[in-house]
Amino acid sequence: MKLRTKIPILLIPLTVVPLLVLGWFAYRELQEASEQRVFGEMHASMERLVASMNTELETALANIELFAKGTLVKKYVLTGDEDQRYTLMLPSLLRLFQSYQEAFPDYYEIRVLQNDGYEDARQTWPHIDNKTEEEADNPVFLGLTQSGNQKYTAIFHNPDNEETSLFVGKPLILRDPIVDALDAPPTLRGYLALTIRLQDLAYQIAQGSIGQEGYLFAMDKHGHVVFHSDTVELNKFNTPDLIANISATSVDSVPSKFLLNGRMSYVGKRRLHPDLYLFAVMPEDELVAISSRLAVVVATITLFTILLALLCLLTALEYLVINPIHRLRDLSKEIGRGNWEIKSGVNSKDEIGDLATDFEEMAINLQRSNEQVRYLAYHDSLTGLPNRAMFKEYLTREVARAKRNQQRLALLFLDIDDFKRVNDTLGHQAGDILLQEVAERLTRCLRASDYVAVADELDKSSGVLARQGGDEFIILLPDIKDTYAPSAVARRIIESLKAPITVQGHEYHTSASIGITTYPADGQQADELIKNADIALYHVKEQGKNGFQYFQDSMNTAAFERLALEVKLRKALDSEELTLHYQPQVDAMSGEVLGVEALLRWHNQEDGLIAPNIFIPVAEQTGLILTISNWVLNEACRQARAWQKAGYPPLVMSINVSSIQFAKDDLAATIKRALAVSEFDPRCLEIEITESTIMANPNGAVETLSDLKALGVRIALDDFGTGHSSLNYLRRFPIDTLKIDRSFIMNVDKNPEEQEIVAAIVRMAHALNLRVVAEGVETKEQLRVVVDKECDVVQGFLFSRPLPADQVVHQLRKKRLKIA
Amino acid sequence: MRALHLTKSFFSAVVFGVFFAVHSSANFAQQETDELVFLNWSEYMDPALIDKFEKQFNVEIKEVYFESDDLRDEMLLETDTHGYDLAVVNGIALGFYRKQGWLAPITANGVPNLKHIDDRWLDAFAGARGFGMPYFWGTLGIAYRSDLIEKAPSSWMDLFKPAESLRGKIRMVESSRDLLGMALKALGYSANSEDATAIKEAEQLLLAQKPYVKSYTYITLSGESALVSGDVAMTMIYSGDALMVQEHHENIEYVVPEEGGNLWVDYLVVMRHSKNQELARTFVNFLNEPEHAAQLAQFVYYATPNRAAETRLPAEFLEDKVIYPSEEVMAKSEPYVPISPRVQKRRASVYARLVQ
Repeated sequence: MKLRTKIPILLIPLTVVPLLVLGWFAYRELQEASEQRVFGEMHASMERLVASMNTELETALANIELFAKGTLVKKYVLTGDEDQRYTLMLPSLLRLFQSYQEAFPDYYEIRVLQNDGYEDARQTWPHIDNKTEEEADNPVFLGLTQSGNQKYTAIFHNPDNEETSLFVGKPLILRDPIVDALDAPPTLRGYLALTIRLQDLAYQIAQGSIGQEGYLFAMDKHGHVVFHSDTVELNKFNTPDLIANISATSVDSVPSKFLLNGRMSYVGKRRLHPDLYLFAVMPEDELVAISSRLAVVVATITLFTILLALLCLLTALEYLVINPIHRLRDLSKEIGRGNWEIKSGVNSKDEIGDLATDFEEMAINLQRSNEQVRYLAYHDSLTGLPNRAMFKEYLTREVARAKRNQQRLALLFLDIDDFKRVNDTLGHQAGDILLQEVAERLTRCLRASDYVAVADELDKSSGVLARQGGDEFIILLPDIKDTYAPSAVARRIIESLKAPITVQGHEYHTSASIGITTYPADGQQADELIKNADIALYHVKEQGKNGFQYFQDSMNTAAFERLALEVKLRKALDSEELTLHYQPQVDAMSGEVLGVEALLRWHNQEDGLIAPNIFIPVAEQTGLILTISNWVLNEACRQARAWQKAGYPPLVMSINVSSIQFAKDDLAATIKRALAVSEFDPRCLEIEITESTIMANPNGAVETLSDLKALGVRIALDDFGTGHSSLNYLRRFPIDTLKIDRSFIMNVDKNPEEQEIVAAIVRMAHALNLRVVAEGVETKEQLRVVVDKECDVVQGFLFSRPLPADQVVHQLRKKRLKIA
Repeated sequence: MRALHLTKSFFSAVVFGVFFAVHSSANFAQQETDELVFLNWSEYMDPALIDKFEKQFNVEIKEVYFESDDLRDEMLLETDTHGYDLAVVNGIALGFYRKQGWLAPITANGVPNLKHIDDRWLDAFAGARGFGMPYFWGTLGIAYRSDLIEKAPSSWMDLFKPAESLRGKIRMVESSRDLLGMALKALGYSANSEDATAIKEAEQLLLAQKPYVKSYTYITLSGESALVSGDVAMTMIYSGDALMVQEHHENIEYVVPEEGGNLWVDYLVVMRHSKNQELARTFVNFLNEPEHAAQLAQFVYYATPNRAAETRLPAEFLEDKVIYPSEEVMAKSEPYVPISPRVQKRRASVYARLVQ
């Protein structure tokens, strides 16, 4: 997953979630606030009306008190004579009432009522016809009479004008100063009554609105809606039960919910007057609509903020992180491609900017170290000359160019004569000094020197010198026109080396042998040219050294190859190219590892792995075999002893002895010495000698074998079945083991004849009290047969191939070897 | 009963009255022998006579004017008559005032000139004898501008159901008895009818007339009168007042409609709470000196009940049919009589509705 994906995956929730949470809380707060506002509006509307009603009531109560104190009113009610009252006083009283009405237009009816309810004086303004003058049965009058001589108010339906009005009455309790005694108690003389229009209240209720669709209405104590913008409409929808329920809700509490007018609504209630209740209605769906609008607004803002935040975030990410990182990645790719001349283009003053600077520095450092590595890889550290690898590369290019341009090249392969002697007598340091001096002289011999510095503009007439390894140098002469030019150079070299070289105060005389090849005559490829030059050089060495020779086709034969191999083999001994591999030998019945056979391996630097059947014959022909056999003997004993010391179970170490070594007189002495040096137990050493070796000189062999046996070592007869041993000899040889030749095992599972042979060999060996080893067991079928035929020990790829010492120990550690 | 142009508004009259009442009681001791307060219609007294009396008796007479009978009642009710020594009241009100105990007796003892008064007027209203000195008598009719109306009115209906052209050109009087009474007469009922249906009909008639009525306040009698300017073409008016305003425009005529009008008598009364009852009686007596009474009658254009004065009046005054209506008119016209309280209450209610 890319950063461009990862960081947003991490950051988007970090951005979005808090914003969503914030949005949610904002929505809740706003919703609550809007609800509170609506409820507050309901509350305020209702309180305003309650206050207005209270003011009206208080004013009316104060006024009626004031009116009742008027002289004319008092005189009027104290005048018993109707005649006097109506004729003399009534017009004045009515005029007085009218003047009150001018000041208080809502007091549309002002009356004086007698104790029995008779309407004694009635002033209406504007005029309203009177339905009756007898008010005794009027509930309002009854309320007034029962008010205990207190002022009394009521909301009532005035039958005179069919209006719901406010009734305010006051009993007129007076003492007649003329008739009554001074201390007589005042008595009830009648009532003063105001009928007050509630049109302001009605108007405010009708016009009052809450939010968009909220409204107000007022209901009297009988459950009749008396004031509302559309009373008929409201009554149409709502049942008496609902009205009763609404009426039952408590005053001043939070709004309750009712299905009103077909809509679920919040209903708030206030008492305007004991006879009149005010209700404020807010349809729930309007609140919901407000919430929805809020939700949309908040969601939009939140979304926009999120988008903006994300946009900013992603843009910032893109520009601050991703792009620079991409740039840096491109840079690193460039660096990877070897383009050191880079500019990051990232100039930001932050960590990434620092990183970019580090990148550039790293590129510079890489360039330097790469050049250094390159120099080290392609140059010889001792002489400073191009090394073998670089030269080969160069040569390959030059060959290609020569081919293109149809030019000729010459290759001079040079080896210092008897250099090994210098190393052996004067030490490596002296050898190095010698090599440096030779390199110096060779360089001087060529007219141009440093190949690397001027490689591309190489003077065509000059040569290129490289150290091929050890005491070998190689010189390329490009584009030779003169056939004898290489000879000239070779002679100049030989000449230049004649002057003695001073090494550690000693003058030392040296010489060199040079083999020469030319392109295209002596090879089409660089390798071929080098190999053939080497062959030519070998010929110089063969013919007495200190000279040069051109390669000829006749040199390039198998014999010369064998000679070349011998040269390599000699070098291999010095450069430790030879190693021993070990192949376990396993008990056929138990699978227990009983021992290992040491097998020689040669890994040549140039040619890779070289099979023993190729180099052993060469070694035997050149006598190198003795040196190699000694090395093998010592190395195997050392290794076996090392394992012993390391605590591995006792093993039998089998070593092959060549026929040449076997023929030498000092074999037993050599083995004895090796055992002594390695402190290895002789009983654990098994010497394998091929049947053919023994049978070359059976009588001598018995003697040699007896000598070996005397050392205590074990003897195995290798490649049994390929020679011509007879039962008689077998009986005479002091051997312990028979190793059946692998050619018998190869097809033993398919060829019944060979099974019989194996069975016969085993029977014979067992009869002679010999152990039988089956070599080259590679399949389970072969194993089944050899086990069936009672071979004692098996060896082969089925269990383990020959392995280096450090790998075979894993096998040794196991008690038993599983089939591989 | 007559009124002249109202020099002060109703409101200021009331304020004056109240002010005076307070003022008079505050300065009681100082002024009790010096001053008489006389509650009267405006322009219903000859100032020359006042001057004469003031000089002769070394007193000051203060006239307080009222605008209508109802307002006079109200003024007296407010102070329970305190502050007033004398008043002019109609025969009906006199009865209530007496009942209310507001009046002091007027007899030959204190007012010797009572002997000149025709008994007819002394007994015209129950209870008047002994407490009231007849002042003037007259009729209630219609004054109109003959040049501004197509047809001279002959019936009360011409006033109560006026021609459309007279919309807003009608003036009425501020009196429940007069309005209801004449409406009843227009409908053929007695002006004193107590019949509920009749009253209802009269109420309807008055309400129907209301849109045509410019005002229910009494017409001004001076040269600035709306009747003179022509803003008003027809008005209910008391007989003598018609003559007074007639002086300012030749086309003003007065008629008592064919149904008959109201025959009224105004009395001078002395208030029982007056501290100068004797002086007040002296003033009443002074006014009824035949010479003074004749002078006053010619000033106010009303018929005097003083027989001795009549002899001193010129023939043209005595023959003026406006001042002295024909026997026929007198027969058709009726004085107001007390009506039952509840009917009165009903009438008051109707009146209140009408003029409010």
